[in-house]
Amino acid sequence: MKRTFVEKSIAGLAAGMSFAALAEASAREQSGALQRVDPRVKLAGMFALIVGVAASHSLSAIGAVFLLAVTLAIASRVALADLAKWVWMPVLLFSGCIALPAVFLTPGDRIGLATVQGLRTAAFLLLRAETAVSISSLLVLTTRWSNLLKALRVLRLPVVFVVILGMTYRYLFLMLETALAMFESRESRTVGVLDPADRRRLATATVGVLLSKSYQLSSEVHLAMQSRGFRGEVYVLDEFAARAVDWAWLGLFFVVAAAVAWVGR
Amino acid sequence: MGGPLMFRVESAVFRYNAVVALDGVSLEIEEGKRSVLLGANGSGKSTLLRMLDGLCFPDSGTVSFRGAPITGEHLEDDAFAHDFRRRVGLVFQNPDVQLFNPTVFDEVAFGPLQMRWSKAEILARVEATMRTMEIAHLKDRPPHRLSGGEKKRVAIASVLVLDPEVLLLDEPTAALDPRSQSQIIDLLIGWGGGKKTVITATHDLGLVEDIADDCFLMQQGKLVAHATPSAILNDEALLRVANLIHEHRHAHGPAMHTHPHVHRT
Repeated sequence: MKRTFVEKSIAGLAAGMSFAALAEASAREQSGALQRVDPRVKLAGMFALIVGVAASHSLSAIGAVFLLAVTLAIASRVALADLAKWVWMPVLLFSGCIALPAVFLTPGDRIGLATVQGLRTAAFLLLRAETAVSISSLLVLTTRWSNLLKALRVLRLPVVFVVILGMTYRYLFLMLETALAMFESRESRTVGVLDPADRRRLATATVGVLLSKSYQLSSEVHLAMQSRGFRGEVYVLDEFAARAVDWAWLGLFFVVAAAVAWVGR
Repeated sequence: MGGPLMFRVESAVFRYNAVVALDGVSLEIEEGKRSVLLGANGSGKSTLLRMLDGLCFPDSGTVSFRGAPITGEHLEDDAFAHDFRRRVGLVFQNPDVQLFNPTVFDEVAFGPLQMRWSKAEILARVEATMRTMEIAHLKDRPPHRLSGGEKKRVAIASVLVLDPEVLLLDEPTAALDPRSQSQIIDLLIGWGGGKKTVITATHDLGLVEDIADDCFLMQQGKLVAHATPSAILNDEALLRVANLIHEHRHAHGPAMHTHPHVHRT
């Protein structure tokens, strides 16, 4: 049966659930190098690396950081095949579409239809994107989501924002599962091909029902929070304790970030 | 002879818009009693449970806890709300409503954090409760990845960690497999040495005698009977009126046989 845009979107988000499951399993890999680093150090250090890569104008310096990211992935037992499937290929396709016109349209020395300057611009865009997304993916793949959320507070994000983000992530799964079950239930009762107008009508009705369910769920969750003493103020337990080795990692991240920015200044 | 009065509900009426959920309900629950609110779907037992937990308030009539009225205005008072929430805990029917934190540990720690206990006390109580509920191995797992039975145990742990005087349970064994049901029932029987106040809303007739020594039968928002579990369960006419048993027809060879049918899981 032909799927509507909404159904395709839901299916795409469901595929994202697979990545989330992969990230959870990978973050639990205790023998990995990055998994043992304090989440706050990883967050701050990798953020610095991404800033360094964005500021650098040296292809070789950015390439070196990309190789560092690959090395860290191997040391952290993150499968390169997974990185290729979930990170490198999608980024290549997405950024490639943006970079492609630059190869031909950028003025400069011609090599056939392309120009040297155009190729260089495209290479910068692709390598920067691949490196930055690889680093951020490594952060997600080596850090439990709950710890990552708590670590966000080092960026001075308000506690309430972090808690809402956590709840959004948690209930996104529930609503996605509900949406998928609704679509499966509908497909099991649908015979033949529906015309586009009917498909749109059904998709709209489904969105409406989901919205209503999510509203009802949020009211219930609020009651459950109240029942356990929630009075509008959010409190969390901070259990992190940075060790000497964590500080060493932080130093390494900052030195590399400064170096890549300085070399490519 | 019963203990001191824990809850008193007098002529409580509650409507969801035009639908009457509770229609002049009056009851008293004594300290240390294990009571069951028995009724079919839509009989008002969940609404009554929420009213006892101060999550909704009667349109007319009153509800009091240890002599103190449970009203919206009274629960605005921090000292009363703090004390009431610590003493009375509600386990919702749908554990997904109650499990809104990123990990099982955070879930169990949520209540104590709202109570502003010290970090050392929170850690000790959470660890002890997780051991008692046999969920310590799930500590770092996200609640949405748990099985139905595990979710229910975490939901109960998240309430028991506060060591409440009263435990309110809404359909505690709904949608659980037989083994999980039996574990939950054993836990309820043993909790607090069997001396704490437990109020369970259920339509499961098979559960009543195991977990209660007092039974309130509800039908269409009204309290239609109050007696011992055995007295209610042996009153076939009463159970039929309350839609908890029905006529069942099945074949014995060529002849059709009719008898009252009871669902006991």
